[in-house]
Formats: sequence, structure tokens, C-alpha cells
Amino acid sequence: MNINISAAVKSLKSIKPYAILSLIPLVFCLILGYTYSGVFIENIPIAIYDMDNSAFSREIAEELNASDGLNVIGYIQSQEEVEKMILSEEAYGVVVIPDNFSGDLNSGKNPGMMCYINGANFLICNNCNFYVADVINRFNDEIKLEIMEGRGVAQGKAEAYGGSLNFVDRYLYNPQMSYMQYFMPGIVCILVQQSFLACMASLLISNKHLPAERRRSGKDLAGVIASYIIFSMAGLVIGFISLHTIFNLTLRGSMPITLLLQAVFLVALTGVALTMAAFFKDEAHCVEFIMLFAVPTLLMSGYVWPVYMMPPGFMAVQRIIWPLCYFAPAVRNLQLKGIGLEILWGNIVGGLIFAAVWIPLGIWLYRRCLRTKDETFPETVNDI
Amino acid sequence: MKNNIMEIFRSKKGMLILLVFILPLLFSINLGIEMKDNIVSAVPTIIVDHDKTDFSNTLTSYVKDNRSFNVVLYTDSEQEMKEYIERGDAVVGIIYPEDMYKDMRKGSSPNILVFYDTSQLHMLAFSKNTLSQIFMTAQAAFMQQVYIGNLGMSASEALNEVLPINITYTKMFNPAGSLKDYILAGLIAAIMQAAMVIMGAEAAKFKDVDNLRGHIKTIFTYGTAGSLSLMFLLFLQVIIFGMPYKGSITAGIATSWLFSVCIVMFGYIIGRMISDRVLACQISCFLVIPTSLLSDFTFPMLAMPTVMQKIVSLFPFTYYSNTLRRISLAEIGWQYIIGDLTFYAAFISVGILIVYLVTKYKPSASTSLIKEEVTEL
Repeated sequence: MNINISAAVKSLKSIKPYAILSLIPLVFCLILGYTYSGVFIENIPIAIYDMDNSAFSREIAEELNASDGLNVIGYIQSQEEVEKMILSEEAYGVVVIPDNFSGDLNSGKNPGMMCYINGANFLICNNCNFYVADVINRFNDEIKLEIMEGRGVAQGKAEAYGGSLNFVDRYLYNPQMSYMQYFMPGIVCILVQQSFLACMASLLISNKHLPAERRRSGKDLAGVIASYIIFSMAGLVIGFISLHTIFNLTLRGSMPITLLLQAVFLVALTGVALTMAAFFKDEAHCVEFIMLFAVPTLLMSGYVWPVYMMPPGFMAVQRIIWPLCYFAPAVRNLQLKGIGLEILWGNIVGGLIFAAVWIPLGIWLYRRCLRTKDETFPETVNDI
Repeated sequence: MKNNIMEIFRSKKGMLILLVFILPLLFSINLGIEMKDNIVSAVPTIIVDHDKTDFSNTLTSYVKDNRSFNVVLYTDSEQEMKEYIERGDAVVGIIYPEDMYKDMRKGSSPNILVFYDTSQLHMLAFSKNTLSQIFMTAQAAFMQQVYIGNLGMSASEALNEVLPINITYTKMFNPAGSLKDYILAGLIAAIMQAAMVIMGAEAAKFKDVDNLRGHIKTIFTYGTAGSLSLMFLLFLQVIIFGMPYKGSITAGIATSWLFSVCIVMFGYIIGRMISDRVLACQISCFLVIPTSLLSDFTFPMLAMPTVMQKIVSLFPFTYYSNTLRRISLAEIGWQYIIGDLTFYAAFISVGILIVYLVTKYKPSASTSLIKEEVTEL
């Protein structure tokens, strides 16, 4: 059987961008979705320094250990060990029960406990704080009830006073505060951006190196870019559906609106890609440049650090230089909150204005670059 | 002149300078400016006051006077509050129920509802903690009055009985709860590791080194260059943007250098294995950049599935991001990073073995090298 290897390689090369656009988001969605699939941070290792060593202090220690969120890994015997345990990360928290704790409590002296928590990792720190507070609050409620009943307040009334004012937290859109629900839409958006830019760099720079007569016309290029946009949209849909089906990612928003946002974003990004392709001669250099933008562009899009905490004018500059700010936060809000076009139209208009400025600029720079090249080097290495 | 500068950055070494020194510097300055506000502040907040008493006004003033919150709207309409949050114009909504104070006095336990927009998860924990403290203080003050009025206690007795067990939480190393201090150093490391792995993949194509010593020298040279850039960026954050650095400087230098060597080595191996420069760069980046999302840095390993915990423990970034955060926030020295250094040493040793095997069975790094040189001409 005769196999034409060069034809096979050529055909594989022609499908490479489409495979990147549609499959890269899926692969990373599966890996990251699985990683973030755990909702709760549990079994946080803590240590106890029980200076009281009474029946009541041991009861507190047992309750802390019984909490799903905490795992008492041991008891320490000195204050010096507190910092050592936390610095070495053997324990994320240390609960200190002071000397004569139960004696002071019985005589109404309001004994003070201490809880040292490793604040370097705030997700673990906040959860540790929450779990310890939950256990101690339960003890406090019981003790208050006993005090009131001891003072002759009827049981029902004592219970009511115990919770004189309740604070009920409602976590809108993501009640379990799942990291996946919060972060995955952003990851999908950044994957869309990186895969699209990588394919565009390859397309535009290889086209640049072709002799003028073999180069794609503007219409041809527009056709290929349109096909990239369609495959990228397919990649986003596949990514979101797989996350929804396998990892229960909540998708409250309309998929057509998501795709509209994506189409506007990719059109706007085309302007940036044309500008980059005009600057770089070497495809590898362009790809390297693009890869470095993955992390910073997400950080500066308003996705992680909210706009209200940025210095005045900072976001306005980001909106001029990179279009992700019109896409990633919008997709997260759309899929988490289920909002409609009436709220998101600003993102679409912003993306279109960005495209209206950057695409003509990119086309002008790219054409100028081709003209300069044709005048300077009528033949390129690819023709040799 | 302008064209000459462009040509410098279009050359291979010029490109590496751009990728490893100039772009990360620009990103780092940008991040420093973006995160200028050190702790969570001015969280847009809405208060729906159905109670309209002096007590509810006092609660409101506590929230309003706290710099963490910026009360953007006082309204009677819960619907309006929800619309604000939906649009992203507010992140926290507080509802005081009707007859709240009256019910408290009767002992009927009214509920204050607090709505949080979870689309800004990083901010939520800080807002929630601050708000809880405000409300707990108000509750304690009220309970003290109840104890004095209804149970005939003295003020000092009541103070003790309001909270029988008084627990103080000390958040070591980041007491102000600064999100910037928590996140910034790791983000810079995440940007730099992308630059380092690209540098490694490119270094593998620069010249044909034919012995193991030459490969190791190349890896360590570029690794050192990467670590110098990384340390300069961190230094800049400390000097200009007030990022804390409390730990041992020499330990920080050692861990940054070894981390950089590990990442450059990884890129170098990929660069040696894959002839195509573009593909080598893409594969190295697609393998390394996600480790900043998979490591313990953003999402705690404790919450990951066991299999992922094992995989994640093989990434240099898992160790480096954690050490960098600890060493910048706490006064730690060499004794706390011995484990990390051991990991890097093992990683580099395995890497050298792979480099040896790769170069033994695939002596030439780049089939596109000649083509590349011609293109440059």
C-alpha cells in the first residue's frame, strides 16, 4: 500500500489550527474542572495547646476535632511551638486554651481563648477561622442559655435572647462559593484567547513569508479567520458543555449571547493579531510573545481584581489596549447570574468600538509590512 | 534608529531580552499600579432599611464609616438592590427587616439578611469578615443592655456574660488581610515562569552543544538570567509598591534561582525533543503555564482530589509560589525551605538524566535551525 506521507503531513498541518481551536479548551477544561471539583476545604490541620487540661477544655478539643472542616493533628506543650507549627505548615491553625480556663468560665470571668491562623493562604485561613468560630459559637450559645435560665428567664425566652439578632448570609448565584463556578468561565475565555491568537500568528506570519503572487488575498484571509472564529466558538461550547455535564458547572446564561460576546471579542482580537503579525518576522517569536500574555491579560481584565479597587483611569487604559475586559468578566456574570443583553450591551458595544479602531490599524500595519517586504525582498526563504 | 531598535527585538537574543526582562517588567509595574489599594476597600454596598429606627441608623453608620465599604444606595426596594447586584453595581446588599429593633426588644430574634455577589469570590471573604465583626459588635452591645435591663446585672458582669468564651483570632503573617500581599508575588512568579520556559525551549535551539557539560552550562546560565529578572521584579515590588519581604534574603535568592533553573531545564528538554520551534514553544507553554492554576497558589491542595494532589506535588511552581508567599510574609529562613530545595535538586537531577538521554538518542536540536538562520538574514 502506497502512502503519500508528505500529503498526509500537509493535511494534518491544515487541520492543526482547527484542532487547537476546538480541542485545547476541552482538554484544559477537563483537567482544571477535575482539579477544582472539590467544593469544600475540609480537614484543615490544626493543633491544640491546652493549658487548662480540664474536662471542659478536652470537650472543646473533641468538638473541634469532630468538625468536618478541621483535623486536630496533635497537642503542643509550649507557646514557642505555636509559631513553629504554623511556620512549618504542619498545622494551619493553633487553638490555645488558657490556664484555669474552665475555672474562670465558671466564675464568670470571661476567659479569653486564642486562635492563631496562618494568614498567608487566605482561603485556608478564612475557612479555618469559620470552622473554629462555628464550634466556639455553639459553646457560647449553650453557656448563655444556661446563664439566663439560671437567672430565672423562661427557657423559650432565654433561647430568643441568645440569638437576639441573627445575621443570615445569602450567597447569590454560587451558594457553595465553589471556586470552579467562579473561575472556570475565566479560564475558558483565556483558553479561547490564547488558542485563537496562536492560530492567527501562524496564519498571518506564514502568509507574510509567501511571495506576493502566492499570498492569500484579503478576502481569503477573512474567510480563514471567519472559519477560525467558528471553530473557536465550537471549542467554547464543547468546553462549557463538558464542564456542565461532568463537573456540574452551572450555566445560567444564554449560550447564543455568550457566542455573540465571543464573536465580538475574537473580531476585536483579530485587530491585535494583525498588529502583532505586522511586527514579528518569525512565527516562533510571535507565539512566544502571545504566550506571555495569558496570565497578565486575565489579571488586568477586571476578572480577578475588581474595577472599583483599581486606581482611576487604570481600567480605561486596559479597555483601549486589550479586549479581554469586554469578554471574560461578561461571560462569568452571564453564566453565574443569568443576566441578559440589556446589561451586557455595553460590553458588546465596547468590543465593537475596540474592533473598529484596531482592525483598520492592524490591516494598515500588516499591509504596510507586506509592501515593505515586497519592495525589499522580492523573494523569501520559502521560495528557495 | 527606530528600525534598528525594531531589528534588535526581532533577533533571537533581542527577543529573549524582551520576553524575560522587558515584558515581565512592564507587566509587573502594571500589576503594582493595579493592586495599589492594599486591602479590600470601598466594596459597593446597598442598604435596604425597613426598620428605620435609631438602632438601624447606628448599624448603617458603622457600615458607612468602615473604609471596606462604600454605600452606593439606600433604598426601600429589595428588587432595586437585586438589580444593582445583578448589574454588578453593588457587591453586598444588607436588608434590615421591618420592626427589627422592636422584635429584638421583645426577644423575637429578627434576621438581618446579607446578600453577597459571589462573582467576586476573592473579595467576598474579606467583606464577610468585616461585616460580621460590625454586626457582632452591635449584637454584643445590645445583649449587654438586655442583661443589664432584664437580668439586673452590672455593666461589667454583663460584658463578661455577653460572650462567655471570648476567642481572639490572630491571622499570622497577613494580619490586615491584604489580598495584594497574598497574591502579587505569586502572580509575578507565574508570569516569569512562562518567560523562563520559553527561554529554555529557545536556548535548546541556539547552538548545537554536543556534550552533557555544555547542556548543563547552558541551562544554568539561562536559569540564572531568569532568576535575576524574577528577583529584580520582586525587589521592584518591595521598593516601589510596598510588597512585604520579611524572610531570609539568601534563602529567597537560592529558592528563586533553583526554581528558575528547573523551569528553564523543562523548556530546554522540550526544545531538544521537538525540532519545530513553534511547536516546542507551544507545548512547553501549554504544559507549564497551567501549573500556576493547578498549584496550591490559587486553589488549596487540601480541596483537590487525591490524584491531583499527587500530580500537583510534582510541579516546581507548587513549591515556589508557596515558599515565596511565606518568605515574603513571615520571617522564615533556610530551615523552612529545606524540603523545597530537596525537591528542586531532585527535579534538576532527573532533568539532567533526561537531557543526557535525549541528546544521546536525538543529537540535533533543531531541523529548523538552518531555515531560521536564513530567515533572520
